[in-house]
Formats: sequence, structure tokens, C-alpha cells
Amino acid sequence: MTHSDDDSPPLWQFVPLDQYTRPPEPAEEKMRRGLRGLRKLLKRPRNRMHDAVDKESLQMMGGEDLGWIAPAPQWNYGIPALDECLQNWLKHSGGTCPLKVLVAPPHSGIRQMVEGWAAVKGWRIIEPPHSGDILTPKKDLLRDVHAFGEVPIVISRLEKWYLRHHNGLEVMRRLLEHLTSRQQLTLLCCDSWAWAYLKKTVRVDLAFSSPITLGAFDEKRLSRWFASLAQVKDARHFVFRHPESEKVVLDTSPTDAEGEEDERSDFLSRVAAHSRGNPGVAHTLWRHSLRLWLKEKETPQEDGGKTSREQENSGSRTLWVIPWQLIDLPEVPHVDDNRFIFLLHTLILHNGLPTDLLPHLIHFLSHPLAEGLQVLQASGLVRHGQGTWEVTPLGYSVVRRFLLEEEYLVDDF
Amino acid sequence: MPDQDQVMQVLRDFHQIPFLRILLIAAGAWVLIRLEMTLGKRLAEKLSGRFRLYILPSLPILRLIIVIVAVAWVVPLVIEPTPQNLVALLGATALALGFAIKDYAASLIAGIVATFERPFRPGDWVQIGDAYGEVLSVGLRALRLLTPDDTVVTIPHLKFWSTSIYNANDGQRDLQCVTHFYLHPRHDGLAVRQKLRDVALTSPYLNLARPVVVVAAEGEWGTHYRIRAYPIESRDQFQFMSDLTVRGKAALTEMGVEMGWRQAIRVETETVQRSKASDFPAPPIPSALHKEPI
Repeated sequence: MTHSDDDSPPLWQFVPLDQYTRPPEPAEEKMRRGLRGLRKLLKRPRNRMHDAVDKESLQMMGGEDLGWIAPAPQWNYGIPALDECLQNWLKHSGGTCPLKVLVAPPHSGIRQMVEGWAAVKGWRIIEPPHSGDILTPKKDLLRDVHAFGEVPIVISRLEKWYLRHHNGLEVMRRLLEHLTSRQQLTLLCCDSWAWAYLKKTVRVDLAFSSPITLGAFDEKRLSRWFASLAQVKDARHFVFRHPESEKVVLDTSPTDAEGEEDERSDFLSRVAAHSRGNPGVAHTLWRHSLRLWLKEKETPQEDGGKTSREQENSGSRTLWVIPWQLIDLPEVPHVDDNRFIFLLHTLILHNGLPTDLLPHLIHFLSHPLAEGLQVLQASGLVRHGQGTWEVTPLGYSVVRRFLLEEEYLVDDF
Repeated sequence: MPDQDQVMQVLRDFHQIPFLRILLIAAGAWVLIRLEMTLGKRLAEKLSGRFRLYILPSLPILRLIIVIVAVAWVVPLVIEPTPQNLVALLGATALALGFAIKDYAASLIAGIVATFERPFRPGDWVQIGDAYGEVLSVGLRALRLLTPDDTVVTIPHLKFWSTSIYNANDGQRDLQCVTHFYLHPRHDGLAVRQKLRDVALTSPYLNLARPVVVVAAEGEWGTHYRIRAYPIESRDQFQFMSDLTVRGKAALTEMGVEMGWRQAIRVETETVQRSKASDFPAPPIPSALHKEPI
């Protein structure tokens, strides 16, 4: 499980946007979601912790434990794959097609990869304009872009070049006009929601043909990635199991001991489906689901397999992953008006917004913005940091599904 | 005219009629209809707009089925279901409908026709006569509209035989809204069209899956622009148009475009009439009227 099979696809792979394939959602999960909707409709909240699992025995991992069991992703590992893809572009069509765009959903780490690649290759990164300049565009707004003439440039945050405001599309139009009228090598990176919106409003898809994206992280990729992230201590590898059932979620041992004795869990396929192949979202879910077992417990398996203790003695350490149905995902609070829809949609379309800009874009709500944001923050759907509000990785899939059900514009992922 | 004996032959013997059972059937039907109305509406309100428009239109059909089943159940309990009795019953019913409750019966029949023809469904936005609003419910005799002023209008189905019905969304969740702008004719038309389009495209109410069109026409008093666009939720149509109007005016003012004279001329006319009708001096004329007439 931890190894890459010879015929398995590479962990980091870039594919054309129209070939992006989301990990399939298990039928059982679809049914469960339907039942949850019905339960919500009948106002009977789900019992988060199933009786079979003793809630007090499990404890969420602290930052220190997570730091070595599931540390923050190092997006730089994706740069060689990106480089391979871009070298292919530069070699074959860089002359005739000087613009290349990468599109990816929030939290997928692609911007960090693009900026890392630009730093390695010495391409100039153009910073987005200040929001005030977008709302009142000046004539020399594109001076940074003009300044580099024929030097290859990188625009790593295309979504920050527009605002959903009646003056907020002009700068984007000027930028597109400038880029498409020159032969300047330009690599662009755009958030998938902004891409969906700009396709509808300024036909950005006509300006940049053949966008590429990071290949979806399915169950196999997630297994390899999470195993590679976990740092081995005292030469002992990890076996991640569900409590009670003791099904194996992930085994990081260098020798593949898959499935001979232990029943395997489909947990990671559910994580992949829920995160829609987005590695950042999947990683957050993974960290959110890890637990420490407080009681020393030895639960013999029915088939006479080894107990957890026996496994620990044999050079592995068992860690616990709560079953998928017990993961506490945020929920969108129900209100009769559309204030939460507007707030969430506005934030996600811009991949986060500074506090002072929100009133310019959502000025018509009958309720105070701050109140709405606090409710969403308490629900775990948005977070605030460095003066900016954004949708959380844990809430991302929930928000996307909510907006889709309400028939608002969603991204292509 | 049938004499009393013939009528008694149609009906069952008095002591054979199970009144308690009939009462229970009627009460059961009534309870089911109330449940259907209450739960159906509650369920529809809890679901997203798409599902709401699936559930609401099915309620009148369900109600009709309940009534038909109840009647079909009760009739054989009251009369001997022979062909002669049925003919006699139908004849008597027709007579009653023809004279006593003609309009009521016509409304009922129109209601049944409307249930299947579906010129409107609950959740639709319709104009019937002077009333415009959202169809709250479609009963067997009448429909109820909720106007934007929060007034419920009850319209008997009878009216449908002779009145045109304007349905703005026809079972869809969205409907087209037209927002008007009247501008002074001296302006850059292309820039104004683009700006008004941007105003629509940046509205959070907008359904981006539907087209946004800005049309312009010259009038005697200036240039008339119309934004034709669709909000995602038909219930938001007035907020949507208000949003476009307010932001559109702000955007046009930023561009230095003057508003048209249509409203100003109306104000002037009203002002003059009012000043003639009373001895009070007229209020000052808006500054726009001092400018060169179109």
C-alpha cells in the first residue's frame, strides 16, 4: 500500500483540464448523504459518535503529533512534475502559444508549485494589483506587465485581478487584451472558481486555450502521499486503523503487507471522493480524522490476527482513524434569507477576501456582515487570518455542495 | 320530475346508510388534505428552490386524487350503484350544478382543467388581471396569489375561461427581469452598454447560466436602456432589480452620464398641476429642467 506499483501513475501529475477525473463516490456514501439530508429535513440531528466507539477513549491529535504523523504538505515535491509539463509546452508550442494557464481548486497547492517553479527558473512573478486599483483602474495599471517586455512572466494569482463589482472586470479585460496581443511567454495560475466566473463574464477561456491542472488525488495517490508524509520514528512504521473494527486504513511499512490478514477499509476512497481529488482538502480531512487511543486496549480480531500490541512489538505503531461516518463535518446553518449563500459564494469566487473589501461587494444584506461571518466561522466553514476571510479546507466540499444544490455557479472540479 | 318514491329508490334505505363510515371517510379526506397542505408546503420551503418547484405543483393533483377517492368511496354507500340510479344521480347533480351552484361548479371544473393543463403551478409568478404575484396554492375552486406587497389575492378558477394568464417562470426557478434606465442622449452608448452589462454580471443574484442582454432604444425624452437578466431565485426578482437599479445608477453617475428627462418631465407636470390646484407656491423646479430641452 505504501509503495508505488510500477504501473501506477506518478503521485504528482499534470493533466489537461478537460481530462481531470474526479475520484468516484461510493454508492454507500451517496445513500448516506441522502439519509442525512432526510434526517436534517426532519430535524433529527445525527448522533455524531456511534455507540460502538467509546468517545472518551479517543482524543484528537495535538499539533506536535500531527507535525510528524501528518505534517503540512510540501508542495515543492510537485515542482518536477510541473516542470516536465511546462518544458513540454515550451519545447513544442511555446513559440506559437506563449500563454499557459493552470487552473486548480482552492487549497490544492498549485499556486505554491507555480511560484516555486518560477523561482527556480528565474521567471518574474507579477503581483496582482491592489483592490483599490481594481475598483478605480488607472491607465498605467499594467505597468508591471509592460515593464518586463519580452522577459517571461508568471501571474500566479489571476483570481486577484478582478472583483465582482461593476468596476471590477475592467482590469481583467485590459490584462487579457495585453497578454493576447503580445508574444511574451506567460504562465498563469487561476483559482478554479474565479476561472468559472471569468469564463462566463469575460470569456477568459477564449484567451487561454488548453488549461492544465494537477491530476486528481484518488485513493492510491492519497495512500502513497500520506504514507510518505508520516515520519518514521525509532525505525517503526505506522499502521492506521479504525477503532473497534480494526480495519486497516493505511500501512506505512516499507514491505507491502497488504490484505493478507487484515481487512482493509475504504476510508481513503471516501476521503478522495469527498475532497473531489483535491490534495489540500484531503490532507485536512486526514488530519481531522486521526485520533489517539487513550486506553490501552487490545482487541483481538475475529480472524485470529495480531492484536495492536503485537503489531507494535513487531516494529509498527498503531494509530487510529475514526470511521468516515463519524467525521464531524461542518454544516451550513439554515436561515430563511440568502445571506450565507452570498457570503460564501463571494468569498469562494475570490479565493478569500479582505474584511474591508467585503462591504463593497456585498453591500445590500439586511444583516450585518460581521454577524454572518461570525456564524459561518463558528460553524467551521470560514476562517479569518491576516485580515482575510476564506472558506476552510474542511468546509470546502460542504460549501461547494451547498452552492451546487442552490444552483449557484460552481467550478469544474 | 321524480316523485319521492323514485328518489327513495335511488338512495339506500335510511338505516342501511353507514353514516359513521361516511363521516369517517370525509374526516379522513379532510385530515389528509390538511396534512398534504401543511406538510407539503413545509417540505417545499425546506428544500432548495429546484425541489420546491417539483413538490409544490404536485400538491393540487394529490388533493384532487384524495377528493375523487373519497367521493368514489362514499357514493356507493349512499345509493344503490345500479345504472339507473347512477343516471338519476348524475341528472340530479347536473340540474343542481346548472342552476344553484353554476359559478361554483364552473370554478371547480376550471380548477380540474387547470390542474392538468397547468397554466400555473404553486411557486410560479403570474399576472391575472391586475394581480401579479407568486402562486401560493391552487385549490379546487380558486387559486391564491401572494403579491409583492404581502397581500393574498384569491382568484376563482372561473376567471381562467375568459382571462389571459401571464406566467413569468412557467415552472422554472428563474424568470427574466427587465431593469430600465432612462439616460440623457449625449453619452458614449458602447461604454454605457458595457457598464450596464457589468452591473448585471456582478450581481450576486444573477443566474450566470442564463444570458444577460442590454438593449437600447431612443425615445423623445432620451435613451432607454433595458437590462434583461435572470436572477437565480424568482423570489429575489425585486431585490435583483433593485440591486441593478442602485448599482447601475451609481456606475452611470461615476461615468458622468446624466439621467434622462422622463422622470423630470413627470415631476414638472405634477408640480404644475399641484400649484394650480392650490394657492401655495410651487416647489423649486429640478435643476435638470433648466437645461436644454431634448
